[in-house]
Amino acid sequence: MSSYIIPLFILIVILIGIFEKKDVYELFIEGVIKGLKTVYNIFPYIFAITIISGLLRDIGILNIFNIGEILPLIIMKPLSGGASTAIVLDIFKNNGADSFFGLFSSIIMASTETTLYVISIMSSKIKIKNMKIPIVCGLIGDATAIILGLIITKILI
Amino acid sequence: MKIVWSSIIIICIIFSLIISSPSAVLESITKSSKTSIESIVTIASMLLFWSGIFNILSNTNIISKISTKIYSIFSFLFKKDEVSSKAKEYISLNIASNLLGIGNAATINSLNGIEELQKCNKNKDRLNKSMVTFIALNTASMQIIPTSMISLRTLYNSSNPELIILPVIIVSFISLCISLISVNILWRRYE
Repeated sequence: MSSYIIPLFILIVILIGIFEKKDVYELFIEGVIKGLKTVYNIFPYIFAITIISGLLRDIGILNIFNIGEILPLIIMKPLSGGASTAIVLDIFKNNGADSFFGLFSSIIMASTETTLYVISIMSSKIKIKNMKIPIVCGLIGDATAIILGLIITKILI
Repeated sequence: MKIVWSSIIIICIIFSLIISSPSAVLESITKSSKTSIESIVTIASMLLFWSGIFNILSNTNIISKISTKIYSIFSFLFKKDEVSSKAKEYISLNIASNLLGIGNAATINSLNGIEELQKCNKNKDRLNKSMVTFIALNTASMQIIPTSMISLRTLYNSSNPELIILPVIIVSFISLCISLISVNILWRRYE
């Protein structure tokens, strides 16, 4: 079902544009130019975040926390989607996708966002430095998701 | 962000100097720089496409009608005088693409949305409440069906990959509510 959504959506947008007699092609180009500016602006932020998530992973600092299996994921998830997916896949490989940690990590992974990454990209667009409230509230939300995830996993297994 | 970023770097470097190998630092930075270039190429490739498509959409007349409808469901979250009609459009497009799980489309609309909110922000150096709320919506996961996680679970031989759907909906919804409640509490203190 979900494989139909995207192609249909694109089709509908183009058809609406043509129906309303807009210059669909020029508007698309205009959007791509806007997108290029966005890419240019967010890149430094992505770069900075990738550096710290890389350090966390490569220095081996997360290995100390490996007692809980899930802790590296909790630390990594707010920073990087790619790196946390890698951690989840490791958990799947070692424990199986249906194990306690497998299920717990799947739920955390799917019900939280890359909070700090999202905030730094959004702040890049508006040049406001003080992001204290969004960071605190986002992390409170993540913490809630982790606690609830743990409870639900315990119930399910 | 300043504190988060610098403290992670400091902790990691001190850790590498004392416990693991110091040479890993440069190795890691070199590797990450390369990864970040790769990831911006991946992000750009889809972001540019969606940016073009949504630019067509946001220039049509029908979208303002549809977005007012979607926005009216969520309007209680925002303050009237802080949201322009253009911002309403992007907010509703952002929420819709988040719910459907079209990540790249959500990203481009979140950036356009926050930019429009900033345009009608009275004090440009300070976030207003609608902006904080909008960021909170984006730092929470709103995707209804966690398709990518389900496919990963299938790939790793889960006997029941769809088991996570209901838990994820419950957990994301409650954590979104908690996050929005904390926005309200902290905002009152901040003011």
